[in-house]
Amino acid sequence: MPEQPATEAGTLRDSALDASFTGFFIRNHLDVETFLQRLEADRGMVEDVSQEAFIAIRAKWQDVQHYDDPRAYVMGAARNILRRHQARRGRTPTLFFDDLSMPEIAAPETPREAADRLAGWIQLLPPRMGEVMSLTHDGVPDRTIARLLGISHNTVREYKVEGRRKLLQLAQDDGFVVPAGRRRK
Amino acid sequence: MNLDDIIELAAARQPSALDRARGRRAAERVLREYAEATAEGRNLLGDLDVEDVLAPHVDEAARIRRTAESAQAGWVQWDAATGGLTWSDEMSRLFGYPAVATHVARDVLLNGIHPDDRDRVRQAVERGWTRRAPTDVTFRLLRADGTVRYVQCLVELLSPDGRNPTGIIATGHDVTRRELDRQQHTRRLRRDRLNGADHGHRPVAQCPVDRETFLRMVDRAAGSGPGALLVITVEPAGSLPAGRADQVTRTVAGVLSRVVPDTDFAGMLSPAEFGVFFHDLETATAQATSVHHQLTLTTAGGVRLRARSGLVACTGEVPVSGHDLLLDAMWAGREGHRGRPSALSVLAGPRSARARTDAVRMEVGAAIRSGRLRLHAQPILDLALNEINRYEILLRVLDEADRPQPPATFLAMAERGADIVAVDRWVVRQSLAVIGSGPQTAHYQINLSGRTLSAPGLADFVLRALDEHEVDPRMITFEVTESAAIGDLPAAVVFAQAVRRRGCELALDDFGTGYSSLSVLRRLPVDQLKIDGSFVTGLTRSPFDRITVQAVVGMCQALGIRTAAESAEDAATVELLRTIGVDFVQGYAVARPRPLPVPIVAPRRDGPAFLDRATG
Repeated sequence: MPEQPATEAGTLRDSALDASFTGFFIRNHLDVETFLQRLEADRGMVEDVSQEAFIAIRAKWQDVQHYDDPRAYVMGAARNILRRHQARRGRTPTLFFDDLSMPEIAAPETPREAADRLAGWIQLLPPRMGEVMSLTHDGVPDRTIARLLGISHNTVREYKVEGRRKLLQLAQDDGFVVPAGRRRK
Repeated sequence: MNLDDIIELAAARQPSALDRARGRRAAERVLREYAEATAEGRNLLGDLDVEDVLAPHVDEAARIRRTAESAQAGWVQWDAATGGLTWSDEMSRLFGYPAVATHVARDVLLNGIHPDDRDRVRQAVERGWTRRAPTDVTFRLLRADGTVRYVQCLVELLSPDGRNPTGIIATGHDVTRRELDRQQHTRRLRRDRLNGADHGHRPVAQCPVDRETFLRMVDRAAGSGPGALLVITVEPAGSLPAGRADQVTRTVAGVLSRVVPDTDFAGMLSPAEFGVFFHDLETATAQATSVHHQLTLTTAGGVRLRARSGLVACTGEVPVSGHDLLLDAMWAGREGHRGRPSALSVLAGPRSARARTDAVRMEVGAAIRSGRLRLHAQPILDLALNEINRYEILLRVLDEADRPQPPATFLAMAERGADIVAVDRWVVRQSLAVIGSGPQTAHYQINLSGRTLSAPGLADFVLRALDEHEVDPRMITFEVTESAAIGDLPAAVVFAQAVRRRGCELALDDFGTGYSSLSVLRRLPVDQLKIDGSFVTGLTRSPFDRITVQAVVGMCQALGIRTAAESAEDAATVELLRTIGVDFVQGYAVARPRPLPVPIVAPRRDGPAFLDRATG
């Protein structure tokens, strides 16, 4: 069988892969884009990178579909591609904190606005810490983050503590201090 | 609302029907691109890990090393149990060693790090071990061949079971390019911020511009095509209320900035003289007439203005400097005036160089002979003693109404030819005569043009005059005004040495502008350096000016040169200059210049009355 040239069987197998990949894509592509948005403010680059990552995943989908956590795997691949794109663009260093003259920031009203606000803060973290925080917000477990980013488990846990502290500071600087009182948990 | 509320709200995002439709289209696009790429045989995987990196791997350290290597990063690992250090080929190369040994000695690592960065790296490793804190550290590697590379490393604790630490691993790569970009960006930011802060009080497009800028602009305009230069001398038709003397200047500046179109430009040549350059030769006369007319209709402080204007056209075919055009326009204004209160006269083209030179010589000579030159003295505050113990002697030229005017135009005119030497000699002789007739308790500073400085026989002339008027040389400083380049620097050095040997001091004037440069400072044995007023007027507002002045003062202190600041306009500036460590300050905040009496023959020991007031 494996020796056979591309035949009807092969086409059938490809269609099956296409179908399961499409399902996977529709379930996860928004998560991947949101994940990338927290690492890169340029929406155009985020879309390009997301597309490139999914094309590469499709090429490996036969294997990837059986991985422990295909979604996390895509995020890891997308992150690598993103860093490559960013390096190619040249490092226009991100704004320093004191460069920003912050206008009054309105409280987000929709989930989308809230996600954008959160992304804006995570973008200001050191790159690796931002990656850890972004994956954490997508519910990726610590061990998986450590493996995806090639860092130690201890580093992930330390970065989560430090990252949360910095995010709280950033939120506070933007005037988000008082709990809304509508949290039910 | 706080961080947790926002995180919760963000997590509540549900894909809408629109999102789902968009998702389906995007999936189709990905599949289409995939099919095209495979048909073309393109490699889609790039550096994508072909294994499931998420599958449980043997050992944490091995996993980190593998990821580092696939990302072309180097690593170095310390094992707590054995105390051994191992590194990768890539890390070995970063340190400048051939990739041969897997083990590395601690000293090799430490010595490879730039001495200034060693402590920081050591601290990062210690923090990683004792406090379990991962640290990103950027440091320099000093390689055996003398080159320096910037490396960024993540130093992290290894703890496979999540509890017990087993060692430290540092992974990193060369970031030299990026680090240099970052430093450049930081420098740029600081530079822009300093300049940006300046814009608050110094508008970019000033109208009218200052004299030097204006002449530069006229030079460029006259060299590149046709145009016409209008020079207007303005005076109030009656006497202005006390303290409103600068009202005329401000009024005219306001009128010019309003009536001169954006395509042309205007400049202030002196408080009473203004220039306008018109690019369109066809309409220049009409425009000049209109500007002239506007000014004669204007009142300043309730008094009408009189304007005397001269317009000179240039075709752009014959090269002519901005300064020559200026002389011609002024000459036209004076010649056409002839007793009428207000007039505009037009010159069809620049005069010949010969005619111009002769006219200047006659005019300078006439001014000296007919006694139209006057000396004023501006008090200088010694900041260390907080007393006025010096004066700068300034030249003034009497205008038609016998009012003393600052000689910017007169001197610029004289400096073009050799006439400035005659003017300077007159100033030296006259000043020393006045000083010699006084009590000689104060120090005097006398201006000499860079051109005069290299004139033959100047040193002898000055030394003779000192003797003749019995002036104590130690009470005299000669200020070298570098509005024109010193023609013959060796001759200037000879003069400087001669007068300093006698005990006089030498000051370099207008430092920071024009020809007053560091190389002149190196060659001339200067005792005092006068910082140009343009760095002083905005000192309290401009961080740029403050940093510059601080650095110049620091440099001078190290060189054993005293510093002076001109144009201090308020008490806050004087205080700031004192804090910075400037030695002398002059300007309206200290005192305005006052006339020096003219007696050439005067009873000795009977000083000018104003001196008693000023020093007392």
